[in-house]
Amino acid sequence: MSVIKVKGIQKIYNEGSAIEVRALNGIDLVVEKGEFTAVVGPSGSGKTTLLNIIGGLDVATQGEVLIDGTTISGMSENELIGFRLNNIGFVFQAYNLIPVLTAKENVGFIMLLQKRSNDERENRVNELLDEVGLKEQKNKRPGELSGGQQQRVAVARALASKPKFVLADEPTANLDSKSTSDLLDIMARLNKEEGTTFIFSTHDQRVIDRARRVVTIDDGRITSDVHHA
Amino acid sequence: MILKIAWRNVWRNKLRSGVVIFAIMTGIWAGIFMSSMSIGMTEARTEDALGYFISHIQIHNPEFIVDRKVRYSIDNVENVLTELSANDSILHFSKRTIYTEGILASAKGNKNVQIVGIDPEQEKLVTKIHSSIVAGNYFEDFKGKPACIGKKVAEKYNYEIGDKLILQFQDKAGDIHAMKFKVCGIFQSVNLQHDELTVYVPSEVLAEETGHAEYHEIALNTYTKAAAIGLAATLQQKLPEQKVEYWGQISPELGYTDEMMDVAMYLYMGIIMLALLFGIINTMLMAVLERRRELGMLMAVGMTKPKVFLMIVVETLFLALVGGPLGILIGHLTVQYFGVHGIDLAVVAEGMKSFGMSSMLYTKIEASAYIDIAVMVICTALLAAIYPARKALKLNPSESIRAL
Ligand SMILES: Nc1ncnc2c1ncn2[C@@H]1O[C@H](COP(=O)(O)OP(=O)(O)OP(=O)(O)O)[C@@H](O)[C@H]1O
Ligand SMILES: [Mg+2]
Repeated sequence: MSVIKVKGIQKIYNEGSAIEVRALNGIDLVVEKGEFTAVVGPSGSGKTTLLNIIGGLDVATQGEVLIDGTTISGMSENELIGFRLNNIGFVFQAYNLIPVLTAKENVGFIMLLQKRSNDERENRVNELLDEVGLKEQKNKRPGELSGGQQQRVAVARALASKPKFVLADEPTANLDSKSTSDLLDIMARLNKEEGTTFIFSTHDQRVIDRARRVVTIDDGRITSDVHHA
Repeated sequence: MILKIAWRNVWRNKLRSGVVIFAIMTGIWAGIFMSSMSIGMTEARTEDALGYFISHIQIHNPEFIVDRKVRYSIDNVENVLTELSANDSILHFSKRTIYTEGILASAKGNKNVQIVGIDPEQEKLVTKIHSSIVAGNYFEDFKGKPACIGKKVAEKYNYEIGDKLILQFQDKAGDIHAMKFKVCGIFQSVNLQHDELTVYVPSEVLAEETGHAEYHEIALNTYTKAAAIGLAATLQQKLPEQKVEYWGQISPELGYTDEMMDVAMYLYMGIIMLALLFGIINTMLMAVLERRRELGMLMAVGMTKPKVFLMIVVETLFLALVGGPLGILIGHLTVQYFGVHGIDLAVVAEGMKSFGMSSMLYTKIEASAYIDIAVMVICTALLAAIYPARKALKLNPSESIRAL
């Protein structure tokens, strides 16, 4: 069964007013388990809007979103928070981490909200910090880490609770090319090793080149959908 | 974890949190200090009033209370005195003859005075008039007819120790007497009005002149001023023909001021808390708005609204929990210090004395007041937290993350 199924999504901001914006204009998309998919397109094409709707952060004006067969379109705000917590990992472009917590505490934060046991959390956090190569930095706070290291912590946190998929909106936008390629190495490896499904948006050609599927949108519509070997 | 995040968030902007903590601390300190000064002042005033004039309990003929006329002396004084001597709760008592419509006749003119006849030895045990003598002595040379007058009167009418003093009064039988006394002591108590109005003379000298002893007032002391309330009721039952009153009945304003000071403390604290309330709201609002993206992120990744709300509330509470105890501690130390060493108000003492106050002010506060203040601070913090916390909940995760 597909992890994500998006049917006929439309998103209109400020509907009915003079400044109405049609951000998404009938999107159909199916994402299978284990995919490593990039959503690309020019600025303002609707990438963030699409990811937010898939992630339950925003509600579509029309259409349906099914996650693992469950429709999230009618859920209340509070239901959505719980659903996100238990099903989706998030990596944002910036402001991902809690500044007052250490790398380790940040990675364990979601599992803590899920009330997982201390042992389970401890093991998983250490495993992931090792995976993203930040074992040495585990007691540092975000402010003491480089941008690339911070994003690696964010990826580790997103994966810690083994979500159904990870949404990453321009995760490398603020990174230099070395950090970008390191982060993608880590994401690709986790995608392979843990079988985690990744969907990320990007502008960056080097990132696009690493994706195994590239969905291009323009003006709120999918204009191409290419699978690479 | 919420506690940990909230606590660390407090120290994120050290200056801002520091300022608000300092404000809370100072506010509470000022409130405690101000309250303790008012309480100390009233306490001292009550103590002085009781110590110099009122004592704990007074017994009169019921008519005398309504109309302070010479004829309303206490009937069956002997019975009353026997009853008082038999009571173990009574430490000392003193009987007084009071001629309220006396006249002091001097070369510089006449003055209306209240002539109070006392037994100097008895009176010494009940009130502190003897310790307020500033010139001469307190009826020590008992030969002749000694009198003690207030300092103001002595100055105004040019009396010195040893000078002759003419006092006129009407006794119970209606006979008018004019007696020659000798000034033996000049007193200055804390109450200028009392000093100006009162002349003390030995009651037995008055009795010799009038040919009969009459008493209008019996003042007595028990262990504490609180114990006086119950004792007065007991004595009243045993002496149904007399009117027995404890200090709060004799001088209702003393009782009122005690209560008013309590109200004043809550008023001071209330005003301070109100100011703090807005200070805290402002600080927390800044903290929330500054962290919009972070809070949006927390909600995006699955932190529920009640938890976000709680986090802001706890963070606010921490500000109060740091500032509050510090303020109470410093307040307590200040009250302790000035409670022992006192604050010298000599500069304004002349004015204070006319209100019946001493010039040294000893701060004082009930321990229970600290608890009340602590509760008020916590309530203020909780109240202050609501608006910023609600503001945090209104943040839309997708919006706040998107905003760059
Ligand atoms: N809250 C909003 N209110 C009104 N219009 C919005 C809002 N959010 C986004 N839009 C508009 O919707 C369209 C799609 O925006 P979106 O952010 O999804 O684009 P994007 O592809 O992510 O762009 P970028 O590459 O710059 O991040 C844009 O025209 C944008 O201005
Ligand atoms: Mg975007």
